[in-house]
Amino acid sequence: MKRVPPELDSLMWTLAEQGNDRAMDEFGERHPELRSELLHRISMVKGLRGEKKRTADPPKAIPRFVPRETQSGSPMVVVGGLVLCAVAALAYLTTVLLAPVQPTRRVEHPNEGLPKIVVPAPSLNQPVVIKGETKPPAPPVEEPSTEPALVKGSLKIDNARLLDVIQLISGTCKIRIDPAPGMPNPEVMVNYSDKNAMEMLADLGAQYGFTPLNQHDGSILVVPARDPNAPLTYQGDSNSDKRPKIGG
Amino acid sequence: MVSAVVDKAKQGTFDEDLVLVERFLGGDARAFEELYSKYYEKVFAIARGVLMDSDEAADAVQEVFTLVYRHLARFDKRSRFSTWLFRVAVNRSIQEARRNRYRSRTVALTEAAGRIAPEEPDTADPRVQAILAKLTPADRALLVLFYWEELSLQDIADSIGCGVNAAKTRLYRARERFRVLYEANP
Repeated sequence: MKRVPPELDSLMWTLAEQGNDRAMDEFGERHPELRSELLHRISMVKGLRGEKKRTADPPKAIPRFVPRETQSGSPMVVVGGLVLCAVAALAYLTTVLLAPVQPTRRVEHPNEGLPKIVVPAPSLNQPVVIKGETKPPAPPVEEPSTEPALVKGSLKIDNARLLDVIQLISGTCKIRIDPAPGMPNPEVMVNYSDKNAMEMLADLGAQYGFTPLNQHDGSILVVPARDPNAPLTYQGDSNSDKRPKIGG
Repeated sequence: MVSAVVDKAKQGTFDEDLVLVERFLGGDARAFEELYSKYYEKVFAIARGVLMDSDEAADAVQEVFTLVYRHLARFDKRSRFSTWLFRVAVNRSIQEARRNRYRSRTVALTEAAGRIAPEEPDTADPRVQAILAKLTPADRALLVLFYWEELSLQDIADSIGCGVNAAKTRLYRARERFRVLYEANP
């Protein structure tokens, strides 16, 4: 097809679609070079429209409408869903039934020899009655702490960076110290003798604005923040006795 | 019922189908049968134009009216019922055509070799159907709505769910693709 200007292209489509003989003749007279193209389009539009008559005639009698059953999804989707459910159930059962049973940790009670108190499962309307001994049950026994003891050491350093000093405290007191991001790192001077890592760090923290937190797993986390109400010196754990004030 | 009909009447675009729709939603099953009878041929033509197979088209028509029957309450009455119905018909037919294309490819690979095509009676222009078959279902839907159902661009836009300008552009492109194939097969 020759390159047709857009306005003529649009006009030719309109003429072909409207089928106005007079308008088509006029167009052919004005643009004889496009006459064959116009005829081509007329034939195309007629062909398209004729196709409906030829093929799209509906059945002579309109079939009675009966709403079909609602399909919840194609069979493939249903089968896929069932397979997924089966796999999920299998995975769950495998995890629950075949997982190794965690051994129950047994705590030795000092009153092991006492007669056992049987607590029957309460029914909805019955109050729980404990039969047997009227002796109150023994208080829960604290398990011995597995936390590693804090090692004491001595350290004397003149003019070193705080983070280096913390590393040296870690090495001296044999404990891992994890400084959090954002820790200050000024020049410091320390002189500690026979102190554990928490004591040393608490003292440094009071001076340089950080807080050591004993993680009770053999490590100390040092965070660059300070609780304004925190004591200036390390007081030990809550069950510890009063400790002497530490000097720097 | 009354409010929607009155609103449309006030706008000067009274849609008598709305009365049937409201009657059906009010429990009158015969109203739906009237809608079905009234639009069966048009929906069939759309489905036939997109699917290019009368049996599949008849099947699709039942699917379309089943969808409409079940979801007529969702029709928001902002457009005409016919436009909404055509939209369902176009979407359903395109969906079905895509599924059938996959199915027909599978059939072609396994059993269709050497099968003789049934003879078509009185072919006006044998190229047209062959060319339509080469177009996408979406292009066929546009040509069908415009040349077979002679819908306006606004109605076509509503039926395919886009703006008038987009519908015009899509129709132009579909027609150009048809023309290129038509001229390539003199």
